[in-house]
Amino acid sequence: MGGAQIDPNVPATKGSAHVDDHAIEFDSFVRARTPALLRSAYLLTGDQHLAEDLVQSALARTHRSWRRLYDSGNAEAYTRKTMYHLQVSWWRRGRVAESLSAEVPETRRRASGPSSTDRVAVLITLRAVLLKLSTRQRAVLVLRFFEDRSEAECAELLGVTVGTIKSQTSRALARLRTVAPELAELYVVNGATR
Amino acid sequence: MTADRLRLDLAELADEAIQIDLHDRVLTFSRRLGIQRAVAGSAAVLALVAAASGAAFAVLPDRAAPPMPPAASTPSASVTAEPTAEPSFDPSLEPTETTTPAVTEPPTLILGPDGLGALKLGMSKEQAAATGAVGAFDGRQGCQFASLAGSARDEAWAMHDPGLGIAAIEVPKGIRTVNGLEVGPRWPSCWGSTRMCRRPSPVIRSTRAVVCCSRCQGTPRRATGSRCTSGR
Repeated sequence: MGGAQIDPNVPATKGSAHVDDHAIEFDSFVRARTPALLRSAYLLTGDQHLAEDLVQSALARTHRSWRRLYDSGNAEAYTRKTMYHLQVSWWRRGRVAESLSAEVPETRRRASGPSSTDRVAVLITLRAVLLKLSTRQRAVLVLRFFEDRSEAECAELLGVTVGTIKSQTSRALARLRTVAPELAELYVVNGATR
Repeated sequence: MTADRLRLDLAELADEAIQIDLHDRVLTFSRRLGIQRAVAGSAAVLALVAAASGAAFAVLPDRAAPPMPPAASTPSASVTAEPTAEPSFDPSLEPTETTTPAVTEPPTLILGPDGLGALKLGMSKEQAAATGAVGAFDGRQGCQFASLAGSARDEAWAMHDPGLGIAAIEVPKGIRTVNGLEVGPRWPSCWGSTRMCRRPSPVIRSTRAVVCCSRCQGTPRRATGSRCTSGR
């Protein structure tokens, strides 16, 4: 499958060996990184299909520049950066799946114990709350608390200042507290968590 | 609990994502992207060529003479391209193209570096009135204003300066510029800044480039805070 693909970034004069090398490398890159990318994308979009589309778009753009990225070893960072930027731009184009929030039940049960039903309730509420954040706020939350990145890393990845990351984090957490107070009790975090 | 709880929950939520192999989809999408980019590149080149030729057509008759009278005498130059699109019309029939549209269709107003259609910067009030493009001038002090024909006074107007003649024109939205741009609904008021005045614009580069200021000198009363400075 991988051998049949022609890498568009490799000039014909490079020869088929290079083409195959790059195709194989890209093949393994996709297979290795897709799971992690899908997890982040799922948090960013709140939907399986949108997450797949997002990862697919980011990886396709990576594929267009694969030779350069492969040589520089920046493929992973490039793909993630592309993914986050695409997500923001999708939001700007109004292609966000806000319809999904209709599928998410508005569970407002108090999650006090470790029982499985409460865990499910918490997760459902968390997902609903994430969808109520702006895309940038969601991206910042995912980067800071899911991918565990520093503020400087977030700023570099999203192409904004550290101050913006701080304010977006603070606003996201404040909104989380407003929209779902029951979650706020669990996440006793403030804007200056880290 | 602390932020760690949020981290745990986010991780657990992320586990809901179903893992699938995207390899083939990625390659297909990448090919599509390549095609899209090639098409977009070609379209951009075509658009540039079209805009360049359109600008040439728009500028030539505009500079040659005021457009009203020559519309009958030299009709084929400016209007043959657009208004001929009648459904049953055979495009290969050349002769009728030159006669019908020029008579029925008034010349399209084009905003150029020297004015709007027949109304040129620097004209006297009488010359401006003779073009039929402006109404009566009124106003106190030196500068007087007249609405453009067919437009409300506060939407589109020409300003006459005693020393400069027509010194400013604010055009209604929908007007096209010589380089193919369309003036949008948020066209800024045209009050020249001195910076603009020193650098008359040979070409309108954007819909915010206010060509009408190119002849003003001195400073109109409301020049401070002018939004014309984005023009060159």
